[in-house]
Amino acid sequence: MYIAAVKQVGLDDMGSDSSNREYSLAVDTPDEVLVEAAKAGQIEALREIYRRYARLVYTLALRILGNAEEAEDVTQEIFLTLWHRQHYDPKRGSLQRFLVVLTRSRSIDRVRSHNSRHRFLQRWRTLNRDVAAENAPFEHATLDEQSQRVREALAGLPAAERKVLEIAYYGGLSQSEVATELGIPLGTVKTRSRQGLKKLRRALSDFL
Amino acid sequence: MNRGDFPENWQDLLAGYALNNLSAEEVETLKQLLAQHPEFKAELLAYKRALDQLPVALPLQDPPESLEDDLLEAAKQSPHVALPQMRLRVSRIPPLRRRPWAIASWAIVATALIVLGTDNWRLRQNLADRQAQLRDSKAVIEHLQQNIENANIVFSTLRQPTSQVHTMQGTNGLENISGRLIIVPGHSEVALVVKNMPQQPADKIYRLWAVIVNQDGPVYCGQFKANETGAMHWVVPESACVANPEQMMITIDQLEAPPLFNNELVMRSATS
Repeated sequence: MYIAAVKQVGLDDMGSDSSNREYSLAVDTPDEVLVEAAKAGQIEALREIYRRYARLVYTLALRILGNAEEAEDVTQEIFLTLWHRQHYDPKRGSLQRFLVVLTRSRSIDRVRSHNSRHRFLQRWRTLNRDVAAENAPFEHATLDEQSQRVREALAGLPAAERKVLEIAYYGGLSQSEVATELGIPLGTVKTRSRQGLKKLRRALSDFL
Repeated sequence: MNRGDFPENWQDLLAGYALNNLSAEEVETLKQLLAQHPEFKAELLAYKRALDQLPVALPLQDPPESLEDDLLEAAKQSPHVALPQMRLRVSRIPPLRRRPWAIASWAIVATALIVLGTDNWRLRQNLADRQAQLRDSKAVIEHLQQNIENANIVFSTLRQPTSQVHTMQGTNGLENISGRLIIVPGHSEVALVVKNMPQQPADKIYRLWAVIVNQDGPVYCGQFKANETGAMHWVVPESACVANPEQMMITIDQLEAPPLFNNELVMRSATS
């Protein structure tokens, strides 16, 4: 995809200062070009990045925080961070992953700043109930192949492994806190989460 | 370190690292592993990426429509300087979901539509059939688009003035496989176009290796699965892979095997 970006902006531009450059943007403009354009101050580039990833960022923030208003705040914060501090480096991974990692980190930080483990665990239980109820037919028929593949991969995991993996990822709890919460030994938490991740990695082997 | 003395739990170590649940002893073992096999970092990254795929599986939810305007307004007011301390909110009409009377109205309309719909069972059946056809067509289109995208990436790679093309030839009874591996020095993505490369079973994977001058053994350059188009591309884990390698080789290996060269050659290029 990087090569497509080179083609889009012209070979001569790649090594020069991006601040004075005008980018031609379209719905199929590669992420790397959009980020470069945003870096150059093109607000339309930020809009397009937002339209591509706002749902994913908002959904993840909502899952972790359990509060729509806070999820909105985090979503705006994430895209403003991209706008203000150009930390994203396309050579180190996809923009999607960068946003996911940043969203997870900021959301868990917020949860921790509330300094209420009890409240967090209550929220986690509520969220788990919500997720179980969402195993209904898809509302979002337009979910792309990536979502489908990950869902299938997760569905292939034993429920106990998937649960520990999700708590570890979304929860921001230590392993011993997860063990206490689920009433299982610490060793079992480690084993289940590692087994689950190994299977997930295998299932997505031609995808990562 | 060869396959025989490789730690049996190497995948547990990588998974544990990604999950941040390694013991101090395990951290030491992993450090040693990575020191002896820096190419292993690619596999470590793959575990982290696998974990970060979890949110992609969530049923996506739309943020409020007004959030886009709020964001752009905040960005315009503070371009490329410090982050604002608080989220900028633009006054707006409350969203539909926060207005009970509106929800009730829509509920009435929806109920009326359902009642009317019961008289049109055949029409709905037709619609369902058409939708199923549409879904099938969309799946075919997406598949074709993916093939076109793969081919475009390969062609784009070939067009680069500095691209290097390695002619690959099948070996060990697989002489009917042939192909081209395209490398652009300085770019982390490589492209491979092959003919007659069999699609491997689910528990096997193809791995690319680079022979580098003054290196002890072949350097691991990523893994891939063959597809029906014969055009693949992926990001290599080591810059050495695209820094003028002497020879490129492709092996087939167990999916779960550590990325250590196993001599099960499938293809190789002529030495330069």
